[in-house]
Amino acid sequence: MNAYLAILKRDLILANRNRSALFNPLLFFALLATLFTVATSASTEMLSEISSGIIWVGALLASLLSIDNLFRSDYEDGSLEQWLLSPNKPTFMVLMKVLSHWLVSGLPIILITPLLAVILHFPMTGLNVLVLSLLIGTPVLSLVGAIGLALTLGLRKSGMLLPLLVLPFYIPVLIFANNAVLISASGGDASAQLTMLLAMLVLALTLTPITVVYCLKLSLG
Amino acid sequence: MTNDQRLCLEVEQLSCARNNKTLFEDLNFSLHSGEIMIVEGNNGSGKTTLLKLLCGLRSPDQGTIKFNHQEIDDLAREYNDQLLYLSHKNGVKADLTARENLNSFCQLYGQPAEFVDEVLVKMELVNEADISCRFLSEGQNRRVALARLLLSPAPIWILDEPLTALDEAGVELVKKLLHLKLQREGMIIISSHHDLNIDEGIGMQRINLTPSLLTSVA
Repeated sequence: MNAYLAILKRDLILANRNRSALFNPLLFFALLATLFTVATSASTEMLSEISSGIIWVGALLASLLSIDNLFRSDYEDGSLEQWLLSPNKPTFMVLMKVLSHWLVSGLPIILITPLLAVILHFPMTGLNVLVLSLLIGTPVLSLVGAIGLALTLGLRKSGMLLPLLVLPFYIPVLIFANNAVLISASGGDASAQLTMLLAMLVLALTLTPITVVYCLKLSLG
Repeated sequence: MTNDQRLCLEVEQLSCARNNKTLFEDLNFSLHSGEIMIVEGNNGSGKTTLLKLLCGLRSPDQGTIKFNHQEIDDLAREYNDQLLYLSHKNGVKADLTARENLNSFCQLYGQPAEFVDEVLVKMELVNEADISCRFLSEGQNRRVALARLLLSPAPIWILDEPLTALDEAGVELVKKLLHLKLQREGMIIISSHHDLNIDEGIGMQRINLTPSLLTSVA
């Protein structure tokens, strides 16, 4: 277990030394949400109607923007092959990498969401579900993104390929999450949608590490 | 080390192609504890590819690689346990100091970090120990990477051009480590353009991957 925690700790130290990786997605997310308030001529009703969509799309794009940090530098400096060949379980190491990436780029976004919800006139009755849906949904985005990144690591020009590969798999998350938020904002019970999101998380947690390890080996070979 | 603990790596009829070009075909050899295999060949002749195959990062197009009579694909982590691979890439984090890098190697191998200071002395990195590796020279970064040889308990070393970027003292140090490893019944597979001064007496094999010269001399 120690080696896995060490990886997590090492990644958090690295993130702390390279703060731009930490703040870029956050800044992007905050800018996107605030620009919408300007661009939609501040019509309160319309904003509050689309606010959950803006927040979720912002979180999704921010996640896509930062996914490269997950393996790219480890791939380029050779750390990746070292930990794939170490006597540890590679799937657990992938999980730790994704966890550290989510802690650095996913969690801060969730933490500033309440603030943005106020700016965007989001109906406060749905705030709990909005945050909950982000808590369940953004790890799924990170996990699925890890597969796409692992597949495209070895390619020289993978710029547009990664979003094209990954976005179709992001859409179900977006649909269910947004649906849950809309229902709860209008006073309904969103537990069905949230359960569905939870099921996606469980599926992603169990299956993506295996796939990622396989794809990483393809990229390294 | 008793006889049944001897390590044995067998390669049978190994073939590999890359970008539709056959790099090598029908490669056969076997290597035991206390033996060294030197992989030679022109640039692009497939040395790195062969080493990647041997550590299981790549699957062969044909043929098998067996460790102690079991295919390495089936062994997976059990084989990784026995293996230390050093590639062209150092695997050193530029944002961490030399000491932090060494500590993280220890954690990766599940080894206590108590020898890190000693290893820093041996690799002549004491004065640079707490400087971020970003500010170290290429050769010093190579030394940080090579510190793995001292920190990992693995009996098999697969080294891809370990001497590049090293100064004379560094080259001598690595040669000394290689000799020591062989005396301790380790197994080494190495590609290098340097003369390694290995005595012919101790089980040494050379393999040359340059297409017209593809021979294996035991």
